[in-house]
Amino acid sequence: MYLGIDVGSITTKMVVINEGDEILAEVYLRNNGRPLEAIQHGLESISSRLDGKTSIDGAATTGSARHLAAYLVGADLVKNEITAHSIAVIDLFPDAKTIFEIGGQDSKVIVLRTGVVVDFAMNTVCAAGTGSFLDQQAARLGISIEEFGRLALKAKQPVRVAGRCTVFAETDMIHKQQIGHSVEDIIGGLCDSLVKNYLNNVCRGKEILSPIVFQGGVAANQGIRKALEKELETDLIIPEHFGLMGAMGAAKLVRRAKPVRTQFKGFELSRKSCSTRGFECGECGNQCEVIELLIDREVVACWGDLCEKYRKSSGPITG
Amino acid sequence: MEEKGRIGIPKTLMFYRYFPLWKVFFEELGWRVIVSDGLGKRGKLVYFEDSCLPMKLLVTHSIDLKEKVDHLFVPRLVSLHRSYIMCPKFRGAPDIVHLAMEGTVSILDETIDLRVREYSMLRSFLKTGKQLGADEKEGKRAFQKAERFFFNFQKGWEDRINELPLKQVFHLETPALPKSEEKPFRVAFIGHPYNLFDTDVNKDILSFAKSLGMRIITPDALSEKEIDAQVSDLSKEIYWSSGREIVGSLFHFLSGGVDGVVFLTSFKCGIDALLQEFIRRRLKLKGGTSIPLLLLSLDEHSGREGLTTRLEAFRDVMEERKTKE
Repeated sequence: MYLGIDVGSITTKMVVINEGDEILAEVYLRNNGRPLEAIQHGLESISSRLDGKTSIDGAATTGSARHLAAYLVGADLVKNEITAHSIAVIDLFPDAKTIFEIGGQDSKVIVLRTGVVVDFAMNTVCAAGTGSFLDQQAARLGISIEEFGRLALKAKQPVRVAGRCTVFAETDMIHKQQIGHSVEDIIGGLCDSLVKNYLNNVCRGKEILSPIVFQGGVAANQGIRKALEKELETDLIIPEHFGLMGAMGAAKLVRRAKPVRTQFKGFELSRKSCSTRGFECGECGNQCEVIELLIDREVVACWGDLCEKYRKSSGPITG
Repeated sequence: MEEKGRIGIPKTLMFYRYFPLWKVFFEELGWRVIVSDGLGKRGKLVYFEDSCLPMKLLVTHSIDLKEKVDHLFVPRLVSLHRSYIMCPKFRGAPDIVHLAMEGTVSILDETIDLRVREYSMLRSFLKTGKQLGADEKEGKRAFQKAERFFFNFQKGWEDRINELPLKQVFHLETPALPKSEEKPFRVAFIGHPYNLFDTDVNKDILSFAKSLGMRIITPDALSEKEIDAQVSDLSKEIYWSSGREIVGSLFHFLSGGVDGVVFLTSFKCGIDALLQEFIRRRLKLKGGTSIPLLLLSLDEHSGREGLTTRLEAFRDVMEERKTKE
């Protein structure tokens, strides 16, 4: 069995698959700003779902905290999230030509042709239109993020909201609310403008062809999905496990890599004390911020040093 | 020879191409050359108005040098090509430094404008030499020696950039190491030299690229002819020399010979913003590219992670394309 872990900026996702790529256990939880704890909780609930009859033959990590996660759990493979997401899609939808992936802080577009990634882009300096902004706006309106999507569908006359920048969007939305527009129309308008921002910034210059697969946490948001479909005048494919695709991709990659002996430290990790501590190295002008990972008060890994002086652990395979 | 004094060269802007020439010239005239340090990870950037990052770096590096030297060398680079011009900010660079220094240090700021005979590279350096007390004969000899050194340095460029840690590429005393093992990918990195080679700007992305198995090719490897071949049929001339070099080399490399092309752009750069759009449109007309192309945008706030993730994914794209062939 193979374990795929995707530690994003807002959520942590894990899946365990068998040789036939069937999902045996899955987990989706919020990090609450503490990725180490989230990974430990994730491992705990995965292990309880597998009823203890688990032997992991390989583990892989992806997502923006993939290196941290890899040091912690002992991963056999570390993969960037673009490749991980596309691997998961190519197997499920061999004809897919485009992947939209919108997560907590990142949004990306991946262009596929005949089952191969030929181009991709990620949002750059701005996180407008990603999950955390939607979260924040839902919280401001006092509604759950699940309700947010449903309300957007009820918009009769979506208002125009500046979607270029989240700061401007918020100002604009407050203005619309104060002159009397309904919550539904404002949310509907926000979805429309975020979609336009995504298509004009992240997807700019990319050839967007159908079939399009839409995944990542934001794919759960009906309002965004509808707005994308309206703007592109085409239906989107939303995979059953739209939120777990990165973890799925990682698990598949490590299954294919077939590690001879896995580095995985086991599910007991969830019961150990795990922490990190940082210090600044003053040896040279780089002034690297070095991070040490401690498991049961013992330093097991170290990174962040450009010269690799402190990096005594053998470390996982990168790539 | 007795040391006549110290010339400070800020490690910014066209330092990243012409330093070997500048250094040899001043040393031949008996001056010691002092180069500013890098910013380092915690370096404090001097902010002034709403400028682009390279200009902020120019001021920061100049301030770093001002107490240590007799003169600062900040040439007024109007044009480094017989028909194209530099970004207008280069023209004002010495004035910006002058203002920031509040007149506390002497600045050697002779104009270089290769479109005009009066401001050729040689004449400009002769004038600079004169300010330093060298007569025309001494100046000429020093310049010729510097020029020869520069041409030889450029010949060894590709090996230097690939075999040395990026920080040592402009340590002229350090010889390039013998070529190490073949890398699986040949990748062209395109952009302004001060974005490509300044590790404070690009978070040492080239070293990361090398660790991913990429051999780096830069526009420096191309002749003027090869670059011009790709820009001669444009409907409107690109009048910046950096624009000409970027567009010309990008389309040169996209026509073959490399596994991928990476264009490093700077977020605040007006030229880059226009070029990006221009490149997109031209690619569309050409029906896309079969060689993978990655646009990486740099700004002073971005962390290294965003860059490395994209570069790792780009490596995977190149790999897949290779295995498919």
